[in-house]
Amino acid sequence: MSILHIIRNRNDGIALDTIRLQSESDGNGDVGVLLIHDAVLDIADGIASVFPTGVKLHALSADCDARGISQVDEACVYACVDYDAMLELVFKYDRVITW
Amino acid sequence: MKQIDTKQVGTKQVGTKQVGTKQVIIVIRHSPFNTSRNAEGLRMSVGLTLKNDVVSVVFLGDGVYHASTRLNPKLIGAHICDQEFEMFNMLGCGLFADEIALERAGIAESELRDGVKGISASEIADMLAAADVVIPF
Repeated sequence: MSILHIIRNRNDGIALDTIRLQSESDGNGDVGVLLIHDAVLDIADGIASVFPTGVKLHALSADCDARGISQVDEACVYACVDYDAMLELVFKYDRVITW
Repeated sequence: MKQIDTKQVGTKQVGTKQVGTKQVIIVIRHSPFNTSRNAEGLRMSVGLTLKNDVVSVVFLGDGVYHASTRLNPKLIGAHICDQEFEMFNMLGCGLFADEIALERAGIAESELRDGVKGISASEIADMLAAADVVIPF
C-alpha cells in the first residue's frame, strides 16, 4: 500500500513524525511526500534529511517559484513537479493524506 | 442502501447485504483554544458515523488537550464538544491520543475523557497507513 503525504505548512512536526514512522515500518510500501504552499520553504531548511532514504520527496514547482526558491537542490529533492504531475501523483498512490 | 462492489477492500456483512465500509480516521492536532477547527472536526466525525464506515478520532500534538477532562473552554467561549464525545462512546468509535503528546502536555491517563486511549506514535502511524481515509484538522 503506497501513501502520498501532501504537506502544506512549514515545520509540520506531526506530519513529519508520522511520515518517518510509516517509512520505517515494514509493510507500509512506498511513502511519498509532496510539498506545496509554504511547506516548500522547508526545502531550504534541509527537510530531505529528516526522512529516511526511500521516501520519495516532491515539491510543487509553482509554489517554489512563487516563493523564490529557484534552485531546488536536486540531490535532496526527488522531483520538482508541475500541476499535471501533481495530479498524476495523487492517482498513482493508493492513499493520500493532506496535512 | 447503496450497493457497493464487494471486491472493495474493507467490506463487512450488514444484515444480508454486503456493504462496503471504510476505515475513516479524523486527526485532531491543534489546541482547542482560539479556533473552532477542532469542534468542526469532531462534529464532522459524528456526521461520518451516519454511514457504515468505521470512524476513529486520533488526537496528536496539541490536539491532546481536547482529550483531557481538565479543560474548561467554556470560560473563554470555546466549544467543549461534550455531546460529540458522548456520541463517540455511544457509537463505539475509537478515540486515541498520542502518549508522547500526552506526556508533554502533562495529561495523565486518568485525566482523559471517557473512551480515549493513549497509544504510541508508531501505533498511530500504522493506523493512519492502514486507514482508507485520513482527514487531519
